Amino acid sequence: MTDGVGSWVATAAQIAARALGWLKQAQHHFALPTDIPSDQLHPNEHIKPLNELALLTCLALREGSMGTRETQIASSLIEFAWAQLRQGEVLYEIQREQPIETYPLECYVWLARCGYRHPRLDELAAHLNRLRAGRVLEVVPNRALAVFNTDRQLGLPARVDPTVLTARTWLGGTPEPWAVDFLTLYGMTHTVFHLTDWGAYPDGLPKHLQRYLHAWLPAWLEVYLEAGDWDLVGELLIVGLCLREPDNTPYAWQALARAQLPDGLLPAKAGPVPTDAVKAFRDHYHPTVVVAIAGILALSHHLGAQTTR
Amino acid sequence: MSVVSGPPRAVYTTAVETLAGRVVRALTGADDAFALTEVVSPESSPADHRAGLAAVRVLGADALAPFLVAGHPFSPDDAEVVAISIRTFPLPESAPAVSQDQDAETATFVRLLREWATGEVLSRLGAPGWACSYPVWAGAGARRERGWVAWAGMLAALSPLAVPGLDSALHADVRCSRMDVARGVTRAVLRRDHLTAARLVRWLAVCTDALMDPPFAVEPVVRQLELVAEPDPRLQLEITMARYGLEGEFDD
Repeated sequence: MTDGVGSWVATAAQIAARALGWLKQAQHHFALPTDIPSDQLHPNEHIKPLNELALLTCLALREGSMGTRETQIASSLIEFAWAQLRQGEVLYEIQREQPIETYPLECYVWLARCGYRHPRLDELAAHLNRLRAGRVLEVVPNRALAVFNTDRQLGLPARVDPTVLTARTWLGGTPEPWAVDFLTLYGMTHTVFHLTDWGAYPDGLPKHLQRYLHAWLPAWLEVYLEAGDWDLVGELLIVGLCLREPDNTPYAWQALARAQLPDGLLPAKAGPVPTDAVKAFRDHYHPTVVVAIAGILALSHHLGAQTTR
Repeated sequence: MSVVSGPPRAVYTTAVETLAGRVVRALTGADDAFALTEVVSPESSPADHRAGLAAVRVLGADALAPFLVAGHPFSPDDAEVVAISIRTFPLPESAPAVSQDQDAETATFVRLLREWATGEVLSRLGAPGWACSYPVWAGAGARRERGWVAWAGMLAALSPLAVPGLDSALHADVRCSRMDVARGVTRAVLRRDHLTAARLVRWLAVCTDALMDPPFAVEPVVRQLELVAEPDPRLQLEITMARYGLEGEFDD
């Protein structure tokens, strides 16, 4: 990687490797509490971190672009997540008690794709998929697209029309690029993630939306790089890497490399990180997962290592 | 111009704001008459007069916009005010066209092109002797090597060139690269840098070309700025010129 492109890809790969290293040493913070029944676990506080860990490790294994050490870390982390979820039983128990909730399967899908299956949850998922209740999701369109992608990856019939949903997202409206804010952009990133299955199907994103993103991603990236919003910067980089022809953004990777702490944690925003490990994990595990995913996708794009998808 | 006292910088800032405000009033029809001699009066104190002349230089071609685009009569006395301002505040003689310092090089580029624009406008208004040739080294693609952010920043500083009727290699560059300018507008609005946004949107308003893909509607940005921008006369001048470039007329 001596050429100009290779040098920033090397930076991206190094960022991802460091982030994976930090996540490995912080894995005990992902552990579920043992004194709370499954259906009383908090979706955001307890399940979401494991969901994101499963997503990251699934993508690392799917892409197959990282080195031996990082692949071993990914394998051990997904084993850890599966063990914490008691081989899927936790998700089954939540889904059993809360049939219209979508997050149990949104978490399960990453594990299932890596071969970790829970047969009764698979049966329950297929059953719920056929219910009228499963087709009337009262969620914003980019969230409904997460359900679409989950169904697609689990091999279930689509409950929602992705074309209709896409048109109803913020991105689908191709709005004025200056009339946007942090949370809206965050939602936009997830529209792209779900439609393309995190870069596996770039053509899942209509061409006119690809052109829209090629046009305005650079402007948004500049704004949030300057603001030191590393979390959103990482998400925007993933969006760029989900396009059919990703643009090179070496300056963004250099900024993230400067922002990443020596131990691999990436702060959500520029500023001090709590010295307390629990608080540091709570505040900053998410951007660290995000930047690991971004680095993995950058490297696999460069290597063309997408044949395993 | 009213007598202003205080530190020199404050005096000059006030002078620029006063002139900008008068230009806006002339452009929007709030004032029936506009004459530089009324804004920069030799009968004011020497300090105020000098500040007024500096204001003419700071606004550059925009100080002449009421004559150029709004039909206010340009008199020999107005020409004399501009002539005195140029003699009082000449361009640095040793300004290097090429330098090791990219920022210094850009600053020189900006100064020379603004001077060119002032000369062009004076010529169009019938004041002979001020036209200067367009810098040879400012041809197509000049100053693009540092990327769209830096280029847009330079374009913002060159907003007095973005008036109907002026044309140059830079205008041609803008017509070919409207997406980069629109990115600059987007970035500026999101940073709440309304002044830069207004300056850049002026370029989009006058350098129209084939439709952009994806499209970027210019009028809504101008309207947004009209509604939310701070009541700073210099900013209002940029927005007014953007509206003028867009429509050539004003909503009452």
